[in-house]
Parts: sequence; C-alpha cells; structure tokens
Amino acid sequence: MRSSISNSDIHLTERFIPGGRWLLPLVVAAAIAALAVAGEEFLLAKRGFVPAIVDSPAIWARERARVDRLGGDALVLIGASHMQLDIDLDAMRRLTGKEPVQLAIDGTSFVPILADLADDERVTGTILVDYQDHVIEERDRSDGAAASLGAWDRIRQSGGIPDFATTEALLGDVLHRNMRSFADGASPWDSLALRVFDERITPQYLVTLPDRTRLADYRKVTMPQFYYARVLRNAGFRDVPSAANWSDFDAIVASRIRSLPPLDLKHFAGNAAAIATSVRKIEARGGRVVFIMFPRSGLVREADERMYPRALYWDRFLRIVQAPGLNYTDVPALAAFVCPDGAHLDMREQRPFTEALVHALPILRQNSGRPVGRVASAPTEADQEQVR
Amino acid sequence: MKGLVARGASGIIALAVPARGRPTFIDPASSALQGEPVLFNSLSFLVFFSIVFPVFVFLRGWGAKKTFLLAASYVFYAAWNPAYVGILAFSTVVDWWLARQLGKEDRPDRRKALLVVSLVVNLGMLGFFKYGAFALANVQGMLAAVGVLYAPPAWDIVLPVGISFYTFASLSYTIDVYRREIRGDASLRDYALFVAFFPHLVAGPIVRARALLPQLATPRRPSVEQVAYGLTLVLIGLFCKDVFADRLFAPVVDAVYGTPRAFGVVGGLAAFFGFAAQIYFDFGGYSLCAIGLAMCFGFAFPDNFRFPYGARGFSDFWRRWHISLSTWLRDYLYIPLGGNRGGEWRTCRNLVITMLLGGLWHGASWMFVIWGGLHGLYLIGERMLRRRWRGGSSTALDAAGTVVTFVLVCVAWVAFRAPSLESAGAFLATFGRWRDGFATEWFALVAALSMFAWQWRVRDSSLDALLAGRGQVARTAVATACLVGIFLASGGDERAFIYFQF
Repeated sequence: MRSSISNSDIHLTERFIPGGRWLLPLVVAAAIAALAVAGEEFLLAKRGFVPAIVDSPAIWARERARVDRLGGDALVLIGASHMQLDIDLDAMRRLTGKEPVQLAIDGTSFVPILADLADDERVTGTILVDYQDHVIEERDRSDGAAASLGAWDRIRQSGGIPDFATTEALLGDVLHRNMRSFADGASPWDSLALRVFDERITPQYLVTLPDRTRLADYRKVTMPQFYYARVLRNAGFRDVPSAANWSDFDAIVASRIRSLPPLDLKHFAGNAAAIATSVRKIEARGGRVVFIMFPRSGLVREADERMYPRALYWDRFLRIVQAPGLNYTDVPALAAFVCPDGAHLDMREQRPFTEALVHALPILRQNSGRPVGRVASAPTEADQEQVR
Repeated sequence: MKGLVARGASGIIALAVPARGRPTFIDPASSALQGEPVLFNSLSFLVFFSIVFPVFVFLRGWGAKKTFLLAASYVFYAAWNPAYVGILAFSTVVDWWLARQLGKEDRPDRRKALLVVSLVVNLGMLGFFKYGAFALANVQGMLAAVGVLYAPPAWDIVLPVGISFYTFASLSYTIDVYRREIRGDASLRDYALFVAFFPHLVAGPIVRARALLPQLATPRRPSVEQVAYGLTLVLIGLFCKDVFADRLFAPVVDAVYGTPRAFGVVGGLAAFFGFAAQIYFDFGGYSLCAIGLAMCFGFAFPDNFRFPYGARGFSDFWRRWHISLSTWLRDYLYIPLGGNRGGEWRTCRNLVITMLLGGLWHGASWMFVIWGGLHGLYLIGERMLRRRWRGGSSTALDAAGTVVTFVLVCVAWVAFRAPSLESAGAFLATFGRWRDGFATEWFALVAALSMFAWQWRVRDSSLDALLAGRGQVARTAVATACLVGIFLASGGDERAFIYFQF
C-alpha cells in the first residue's frame, strides 16, 4: 500500500495525506466537545459543585517565596491539615498585624519544612507549627514535603525566570479556579463518573482557596459514617466492627480505644532535640517558633490521648525544644470547639477559633513586643539521657 | 506501627481504595529539582503552540519563518532548564562546522580525523551526561570485587533532556556528509533548526539530516487541510497517551510492578501485556503528535511505529517498532560493523552488539542491556530457524509466529520495566499465584489483548490508510472522541512521556 510504504521511509521529504476534508470534521468535533464540556459544567453546577484550586507543590513554592519577601512581617503557618482547616487567614492578619502565609501541607510532616525555614537567613518572622506527636518520631519522613521543597528549590535557583513547571502550575491554577470539573483535584472523568452519573453523589465538602486555606463543610458529608471512618483510621484499626446500630458501634470502638496502650516512640527525644536546633537557628535571627496542639474531639481525642499521653510526649517535647507551646486542652475556650470529624473544624468555626487562638497566645497579638517565651521547666535527666 | 499514618483531612476518601504504590517513571523529587520538559499534553504547550503557529503563518519570508521557528524551539528547550541550552548550541555548532570542513575536504586521512572528532564530541557528551554515574558505579563494584575500596565522587550531573535523540540526529549529518551521501553546506540556521525543531527535539523521532535539511531549503506552504490533518494526528496521539497509556494501563502496571507480592496471575498478566500496550500508546502517541505538529508547519516526519505487535518475527518487529532508532542503528552501527557480510558468526556478533548498544541507549542500567540482549538473542534465534526451516508457510504458522513474537517481546519488556533483576523476579512470581484480579486488572488485560488482536488485523495497513478510508462523519466522530477523551483524562496524576528519560 502506497501510504504505508512512503510514510515509513526514513528519508521521506513529503508525507502522504489522506484526501478529502479534514478541517470541517475538526471544527464540528471542537464544537461538539465544547458542548459536552459545558454540559458537564452545567450538571456539576446544578449539583452544587464550585471550582476550587488544586493544592500543588508549585502553589506551595509560590507561597514559600512570600516568606522571604516578607521577612519579619511574615506569620508562617506550617504543619498539616489542622493548620489548613482550622485557621482563618483574614482573621489572623487582622488580629496580629502580620501577613500570614499558609505553608501547611495536608497529611505531611512539618519537620522538613521547619528545617528549610531554619536554613534560610531571610526567614525572620514568626512560625506557628501544627504539632502532632507521631510526626516527631518520623523526623526523616519527607513524603509530600519533598515535592514542595523541590519546587521551591527550583524557583530559588532559576532566579525568577519562569520555567515549564511554574508556567504549567499557573495555567492549571487558572483552569481550576474556573472549572467545576477539576474541583478537589478530580479529573473531569472522576467528576463525570462520581458526581454526574452516580446517584450516591460524593459531596464537595472540602474547598481549597487560592491562599491555600481549606474550608470543610461537614454538613455535606454523611454522618456518623464519616466521623467513624476518621476514628478508625486515627486509631489504626483496619477492620470495621459490625454492630446492630450506631450506639453499639460507638460502644465497641470506644471499648477498643480504651484498651490501646501508649505507643513507644523510640526516637522521639532524639528527634525533638534535632528540631530544637532548627528552632534555635530561627530564634538567633530574631524569629520565633510556637508549637500548637490543635483541637480533637470525641473518640479521636480519646485515641490520641491514649496512644500519645501528654506527659510522655507533648510536655517532654516542649521541655526538650525549649520553645513556646499551646495545647488546646489548657485553654477552655479552645477545648470547647467541636471537630465534626473528630480532628478538624467546620468552616464556620474557623474565624471564632482563630480569634480564640490569637487571644490565647499573647505573643501573636498586634504590637506585642514581648520577648519569646520559653517553657519554664528544663529537660529532665531522663530526657537528656535519651537525647544522648 | 499503628497510628503512625499520614493524616489528612481529605485522606478519608482513601479508606475505600486499596493502598498500592504508583511509582512514576521520572522520580517526582528529582524532576522537581531539575525541572520538567514541556509536554505536548500540557496547557503550557497549548499556549506555546497557539502563539508560535499563527506567528509562523503570518510571518513573511521563508528565512524569517525559519529564524522564528529556531528561536521558538530554543525557548521550548529552555523551558526545561535554561542552562542546558548551551550544550545543545555547542553540539550544533561543532557538528555544523565539522560537516562543513568534511564537505570541503578531499584528503581521506583528514576526512577520517574530522569524523572521529565529531564522534568523540557527540558520544563523549552523551557518555559524560548519561553514563558517567553508571560507569563510576560499575568501576566501584569491580574494584570492590577484587578487594579494592574506592569511593567515587558524587555525580550530581543532570541528564540533558533529549540528548540521546538530538545527538543521534546530529551524528546522522556528519556521518552522511563523510559518506558523501549529502553535502555539508547547510547554513548554520538551517542546521540548527534541523537539530532543535521542537516537535522532535526531546523524544524523537530521530529525524535524518538527509530528510529534513532539503525540506528546510525550500519554503513550505501547508494547506488548510494539511494543517487540519496534522492537528487530527496530534489529537489521536494525545488520546493514545492520556487515555490509553496513562489512565487505562499505567495504574495497573505501576501497581503490580510496585508491589508484586500483592498480586496473582491475573494482575501479573494484566501488567505483563499491559506494559506492552502502555509503552506503545505512550511513545507511539508522542511520535504521532510530533508527526502531526511538524505537518502543521509543512514538514514531513516519517512514521515511527507501524502496528509493531502484529509483527511476524523479530526482524519484522524491528521494522515496525521505533523505526527511526532501529534504522539509525542499522545504518550507522550494524552495517559499519559488517552487517550480514562475513559469515554467520560475524552476523550474530554484529546483531548482539547492535542490540546491546541499542538497549544501553535507552538508559544507564544493566536492565536495558538485558532487554537489548534478549532482542539480540531473539534475532539470532529467528535467523537460525529461518535457515533450517524447510516447511512452507501457512496461516497457522503465521499465527503461531505472530503470537510467539508478541509474547517474547512482552517477556523482554519485563527487563525494560523492572528496575532490577530482583524486581523482575518478584514480578514473574505473580504468575505462580492464583489470585483473582480487580475489575481494573481484568479490563487492562482484555484491553491489551484487544490491542494485540487489532494490530494483527491491520498490520499490513497504516494509520493514514485507515483514516483515508473513512468519511466525514467517521472523521468527526474520531476527532470528537479524542477531544472529549483528552478532556476527561486531564488533571489528576500527570505523567511525563516515558521516552523523555532516554
């Protein structure tokens, strides 16, 4: 056949092109495809979906660059989902007079991010850390943070010249802000299959804002299944108990949680000492680091308190690190907040919680010239022994 | 340890999904540090093309159009890493100058010396960037075997994207000029555009100077229908990449190769045949995009794939798979080694050397060498069989030959895909365990075998011929399916084209 012979010739200078029209089919196809996309957008809008950005390393790196530009005016938020879901940046900005920068990454460790900030001489602001006990044990874990730090390194090394990855992130951002088909990082196929055609529609309860704040609307999720899924996951239970009703289910799970022993985090003290080194570097430049234990509720709180007893971990951590810390259980106004899924606040609680948090942390308040507070108690001999 | 899990607000949804590893072909952390090449299936490329194509069309004068295309191609390359544009420019200028000298020179010794300089510069750069770390690690291993402890310096050299492709394209020029098959009088602009033309720059096809330089010499005036057909090929290529390679096959293949012990024979077979389909749709799709894009600017690139899994035997397979590489290796390595002249032993030796180096071209890893070695053995085996076979040909024999070829090609893909021998062994062990597969595994298995059946059916045709036989309604349906499919598969997990790493 002529085509297969001529078009496979490695030295060809002209290609065989099938005859007939190609432009008209292409134009008609583009019109049909545009209608199909518009149809999906319409159906998603009808079902209450809204466009939202997709949190990405490039967006994180863009925010990270702001920290250097802001210097001492930056209020840097690092950690994981609690920081992203529980803090209202506008309220934080208004109450502290500082510019908040959201650098928390869902489901990751704050440790490599804190180390990066500590190694950067231009970071001289205040850093709020979403503290979680289990993170300290896994100091070398970099998972989600690695890609974000990689994107930041690339921006830093490129000297501001936009490359493919940053351009692509920028264009993707524009698309995500305007199209419901990409909401929550879904692909349009997922949106079509799970949100348009599936009657048991997965609700869009989580929205990420351009400043990386996340808003969770727990009214949209199915309770108590959603809550218990979180409880089982946090407690490390893989099998789901069977029960006749939710009351019995609650009793079974609660009973299992009560039998959980405290976890033995062997590297905790040593890793806390390494984190202290990062804190000292930041403090030496006039910056400060504050560790915050965010609210938990119900069985999630109970599981955490059993697996990570405060005296064994949180109190010991602050003694080793010698940095200010705030545990929600010490402040009745903070402890009163209820997490619908056991671990995070609903979007309606973000603002009041942020106001209560700033109120509970005097060093954050506007025009506060107070020196950095340290925890009163020094490390015990046992702590020092473990560090050694 | 219980409780030591990454906790995220959105992670709750993952409870319903089995946790399986999805390794990517390009390490996300390292690619984040080194940058990423512009992908044809990206928004950035859409914007790039939307600017470059109209400007090219409206510019007056062929010289201005070529200068603009050259500048655009360098911007395309610089988007990956601006610093490495210098290497591309250096390689281009050196080969252009050497070829020019070769064209003027008549003294054989001096001509040979100029060719050697070109080979040393090009292969030296390729060796330094691509195989430096590999060579050091092997030297370290060999010295350790004889009791000498040697700690090589850290090799933090970034592999310039596409260097294997543009080095081979560039070498084809100096070698052809040396052989007096073409004249070495191309202008620097034409030659630079031949090397850097963005549709083929980072992942081929490896276009020959003999084919593209004459096209650059005369103004190209693509018709509207030609541009529309080129765009249709781009859409089909993107559909192959986004829908088939990335969405249908890659998740299953990555999961099974990532955690083979979690799978049985169904998952194993799905990944075994699925990777063959994935790499075909990935690289074949990319090549189709490159051909279509070049066509939009009026240039002709040759086919790089011709239904390879419908091949009857391995020599037939290599006439259909990555044609621009296999013909390059044939013309510039196998034939200069002696080809099939000089007896059976020398022919077999030349085949093995060619295939081993062809394997190594794909990457600095012994697994690629094993892949090449297997294909070398297949070719020798086929050659022996053909010499001894006295029976005639029949439909059954043809069918058996096609099936055996496909299965053995898939066996070789295991060495290509697995990062180590241990990993390949763990993967092959899935065939010894019965475990029913998930629906995605069954679907990938059936889809991969369907692809094989389809390629078998149409193997004597070509994509162009298949499309030529379709009316306007069918053409509209194909283009619509591609556009909607590309949209539906967009977002989420982005994968670089597999062949960017070579």
